[in-house]
Formats: sequence, C-alpha cells, structure tokens
Amino acid sequence: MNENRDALIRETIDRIEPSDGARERMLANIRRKAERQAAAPEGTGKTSVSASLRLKRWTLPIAACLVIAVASAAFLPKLFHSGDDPGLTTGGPDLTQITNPFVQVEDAAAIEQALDIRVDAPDGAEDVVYSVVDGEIADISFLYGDHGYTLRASRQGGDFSGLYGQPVTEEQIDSANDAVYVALREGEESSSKITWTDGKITYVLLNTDGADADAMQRLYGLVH
Amino acid sequence: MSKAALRTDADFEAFYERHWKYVYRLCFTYMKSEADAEDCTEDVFVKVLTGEYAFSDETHQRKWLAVTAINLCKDRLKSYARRNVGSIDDDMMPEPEVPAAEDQTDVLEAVMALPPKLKDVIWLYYYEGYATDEIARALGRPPSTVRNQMKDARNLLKNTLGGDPR
Repeated sequence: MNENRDALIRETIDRIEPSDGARERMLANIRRKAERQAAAPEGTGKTSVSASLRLKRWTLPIAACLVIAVASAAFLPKLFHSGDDPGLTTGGPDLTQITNPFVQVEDAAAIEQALDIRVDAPDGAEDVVYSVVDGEIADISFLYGDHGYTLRASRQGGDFSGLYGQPVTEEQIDSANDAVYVALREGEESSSKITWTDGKITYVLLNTDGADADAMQRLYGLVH
Repeated sequence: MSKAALRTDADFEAFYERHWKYVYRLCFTYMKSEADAEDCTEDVFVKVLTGEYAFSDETHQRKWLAVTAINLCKDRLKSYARRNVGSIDDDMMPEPEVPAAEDQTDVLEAVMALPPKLKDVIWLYYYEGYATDEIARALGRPPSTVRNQMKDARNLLKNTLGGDPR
C-alpha cells in the first residue's frame, strides 16, 4: 500500500508540465540574469549607484563588527577554533562539500550482505528505510504505532546512536543481552534508547519523538 | 571575460537539460504559479552558473538542486507575505497542468495545499526517497521534527490518498 502511495505522489508530480517554450525562455533568462549579476559591480548605471548607497549605509556597522571580531580574537582566543565544524554555516547546509555517510539500501537482506548483520524492523512497521552508515552501521528507520524509531546495529564499539543528551534515567531491562534503557534530555529535546548486544554486534533502538518507556520496551521485545 | 560568460557552455546546458524540469516541478508545487515557478527555477540555475559548486554525482546534484529550490521558493513566499502581494492568492492563479484522471487532480491539489514545511519532507521523502535522517540534515531540522512533519503530512493527505490506493 505504501509503495502505491509513493508511486502515486511521484506520478502526479511528474505530470506537472511547463508551458510551451518554457525551457528556452528560462534558459535565456538564466543567461541574462547571470550576465547582469556578473556585470553589476562594474556597471555605471542605476545598479552600481544603488550598490554604492547600500555599501555606504552598511559601512559603519561592518566596521563595528570588524573591531569586535578583532578584539575578540585578540583577547578570547578560545572562542575561535579551526577545523571542521558543520555548525558554522551562513545560511542552510552546504551540501556541495559534505559527503553523505548514509547509503540507502533496498532491504534487510542488502544490509546483511553489506555488513553480515541480520537486523530488521518489526512486523507492522511502516515507511521502513534501510541504510548503511559510514560503511559500518546498519540503520533502519520506521514508524510503529504513533512514533518513529531507528534501529541501528554495528560491530564497532562505542556509542553510535547519534543521541547526545544528558541521561536522566538508566535501567537494565534484560540481563541476558545486557539490555539497558536510557532516557536522555538535551535542552527541550527528549529522546530515549535501548542498547543491547549478542556479544559480537551491538544494537540500539532509539526514539526522538516522545515514545514512553513502555512503548520502547515493547518494541525491544519485538526486535531483539 | 566575466565568470558567468565562462560558465555558459555545453556543460552547463547539459546540466540544465538534465534537471530543468525536475526543478520546475518542485518550484511549481510551492509557488502554484507558472510565472513564479519559472522565476524560481531560473534563480536556481543562475546560482549554478555563477557559483563555484562541485558535485560528486547525479544524486548530489539533485539533492543540492532540491534544497536550493526549496529555500528559494520559501524565501520568495515569505517576501510575498511581507509585501502582501497577491501572488499566493489561489483564486488568481492559473489552473495548473494536471492529469486528466480526477483522482490525480485531487492528489496534486492535496500535495500543493500542504504548508511549505510539510511539502519539504513530502518532496524529499516520497519523491526523492531520502531517509528521514538525510532529510533532517538537509533541512537543518531534528530527525524527530521531520518524522512528526511526515506524520502530519500523511494525515493531511489521508483523505485524498486514502488507505486504498488504486
């Protein structure tokens, strides 16, 4: 049923057709706009005058910002740091420089083939998406009941849940698998996870949209 | 010779040929007007033509184009709202090109009637097949927010798409 819905939405959007001549018209406009954009700083007409006025209006605030920045750099060196920081963006993500670590695969069998890890969403899960992350982590996101969940599995150690809040509750729920339920909080965001292991592979079931402990433990019972 | 003139070559035209309709369709679902959709589409490709972008593959291209087009359309809609311009008045818009089958007309209208923030996730999830975590990163939203928005969009579309598709 979901595949039909997906296909219906895609087919419907694919039937949106531009008007006659749109392709050529837009291409001509694209060239014109690009030329205008490239020529604007060197022009002598209205555009360059407007740019000059805008520059004058912003000169004092820009100068003030520069002074503050230089002063901060001089007296608060720890405020600035080099290196990669994906948070330092000026307006939306720069997808051009980010390699996507998620590789979507077709199903659980594809994950098993890629990672030799057998893991799958529970029966009754909807909108199931299978991915391999960084070539090492099986990632299955799905909807179950009223909540969205992610089930991850990997042979690597450490915490690969992707959740970074402060633990507020921690409870062992299954000693056979060292299964531990943890509720976390980061600012206004609440999340929870259950981690367990079979000795070779570590599994994490996580939720970030408010599923309670009972729901998480019920789901754990279906997937481990 | 300006940078724009250097980039106006066979490579750009081939890139435009591959993606213009895709970008137009996305812009149309936001702007609901042929003229505005064309304008936004043009602005997306002007960015390509005048920027210094390097794409690793076709998937990367489409993702960049989708997010850029979404952001451009939403900025345009916000500026229309601020200026109280009538471009977003549905009564004034020409009827979109819609498929002949009535159920698909309803589907298109339902998708186009979604609020912009829900349209993002619908497009990237149902049309592009991206995982929710990918969508969250691309749009700069928490994954839980994306999942909730998908749930909201699905509920809004339920009446039209139903649980018994053809």
